[in-house]
Amino acid sequence: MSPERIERALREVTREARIESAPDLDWDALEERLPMTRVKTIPPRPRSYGPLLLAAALSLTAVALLVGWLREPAANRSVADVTAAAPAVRPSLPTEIDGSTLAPGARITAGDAAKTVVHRGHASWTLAPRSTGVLVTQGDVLVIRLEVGSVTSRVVKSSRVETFAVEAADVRVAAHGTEFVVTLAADGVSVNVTEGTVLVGPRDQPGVGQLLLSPSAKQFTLAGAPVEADESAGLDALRPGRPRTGAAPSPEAPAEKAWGAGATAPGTTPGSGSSAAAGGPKPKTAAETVAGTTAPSATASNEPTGPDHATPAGIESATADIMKLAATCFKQRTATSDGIRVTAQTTITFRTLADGGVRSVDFEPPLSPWVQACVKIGMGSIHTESTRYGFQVSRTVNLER
Amino acid sequence: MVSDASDLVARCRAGDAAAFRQLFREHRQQVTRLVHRMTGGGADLEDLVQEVFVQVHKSLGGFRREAQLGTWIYRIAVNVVLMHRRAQKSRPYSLPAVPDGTIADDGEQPDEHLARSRRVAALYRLLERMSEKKRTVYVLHELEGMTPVEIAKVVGAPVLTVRTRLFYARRTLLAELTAEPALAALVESLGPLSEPAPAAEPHKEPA
Repeated sequence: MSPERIERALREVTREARIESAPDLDWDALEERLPMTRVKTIPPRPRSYGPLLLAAALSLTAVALLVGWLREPAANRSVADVTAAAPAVRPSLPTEIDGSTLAPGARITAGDAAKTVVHRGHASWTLAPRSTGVLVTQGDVLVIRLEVGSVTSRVVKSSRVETFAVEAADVRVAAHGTEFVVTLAADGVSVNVTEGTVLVGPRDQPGVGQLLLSPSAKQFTLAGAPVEADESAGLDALRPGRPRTGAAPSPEAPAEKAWGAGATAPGTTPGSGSSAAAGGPKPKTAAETVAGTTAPSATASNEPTGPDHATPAGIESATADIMKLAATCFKQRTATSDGIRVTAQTTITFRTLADGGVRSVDFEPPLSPWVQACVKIGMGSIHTESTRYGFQVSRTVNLER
Repeated sequence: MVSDASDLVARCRAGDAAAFRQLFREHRQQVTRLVHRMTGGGADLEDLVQEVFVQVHKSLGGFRREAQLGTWIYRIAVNVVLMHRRAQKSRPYSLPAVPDGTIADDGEQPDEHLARSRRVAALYRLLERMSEKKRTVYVLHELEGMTPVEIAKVVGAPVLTVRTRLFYARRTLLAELTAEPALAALVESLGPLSEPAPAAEPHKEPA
């Protein structure tokens, strides 16, 4: 074969690849999953402090203008106001505090600049300007209590179930390997998950609540009940076939909505604002937080009927069905030849719906798209135990072809 | 209609959800096409496209006005794909999807369509075996139609380096083209040379 022909063939096949159109995606679904409803940018780290000091000096002149706003009671501001304003308020001179030097009970207040507390190898949390947080517990499990304003948390991934939590009013936001923003306002708490997964629930019930997968944002009442709004993109909003429950509850009676039908939202009434910290139930300790979750983790979500938790037999049965499906798909959809054995180890995480259906099956690390598509098709035929909250199971599995 | 990029970014930074939605809609097609080409269709396209826009969203604070928004998003997309590929390296390789016989209504005969799909899949397999640096510049230049100057901005390398990588990418492909049966058949099917060969690339071997 002449080099000229080969070169022409390369040009021809390159042209063919160029005119080939990319597959169409479900743009609407993709758009829904993007963090568009709560855009919050992370400013780049300053490279030198010179320009920042100048900016700080200029910003001091603006402080006087802000004094009136600062003195305005927090109760006069709504969640919507705060979440809408939060992205525009960017720290001009972030300061960093070594978390190991803080004792439990330490109260950190950010002035006109954001303030970051760094717990090396564990987590960091950044208080937005004019926000206050209290370090509740140190050690293996960090718990921060947000008293005023907004906190952005970044948690280093860990094999432990929960290593970090933020409490705001009577809402508890627990995470591991996650980046999320919690904003406390007079009439509620907003949670914006930019990476990973958090469990948002009542402060006094660790391990119970609503799972938020990134990217998503959702608002909660001070008592911890989720506020169903069109802008919310949490687990419930993603759940197929589940009708939206309408507009947010009126500010006069937000506690009427609780984690599950018939349950009573614990804690304070609206309007208590940042003072809710003092009057609310005692925060759980680190040990209680860890003990509240078992492996495989069965995580609650907001559903109105059925028993609270799946039985161990129900969990095992569902797990066995999912494992079998994954093994079958791996065998059918993995290419191999000449007797070559292909093996893969992955952690399968599946979540169920309250009606017993399977909501999702995820693999970490992911398997090939063809195997995953096969599982997605097959999971429709699997039925698990019905529970009020649904449940989630993670299990590592070895697959072989 | 493409909006003024600086204004759009400024609005996104200010927390304007509609602006980010607009940014997504303006750039989603080109990002999807690029990701598809860089992965050869062998990855979860939707997840990667989503990841690109999540990274765009996260990095808006670092966008410099002097940069072109499209080029900046391309750079993020390339990085996302490369990170994904590196993460996948230790996993068993799965062959790209075999054409399933679904024929687009483009006036082409089904067997022609299938043969073309197989040739394109073979090209992606050859690219798959290439180093990521060479593959990236080849895809950006030959499939995306970007100039070496634009590619240099995307990959963060000098223009001369981009040209050199491009030269070696072509040479590698030419050397291995006939190893793919579908492409060997294409070479066989081509008739005698009827057009002048393009001038040789003025590149030199790296030291």
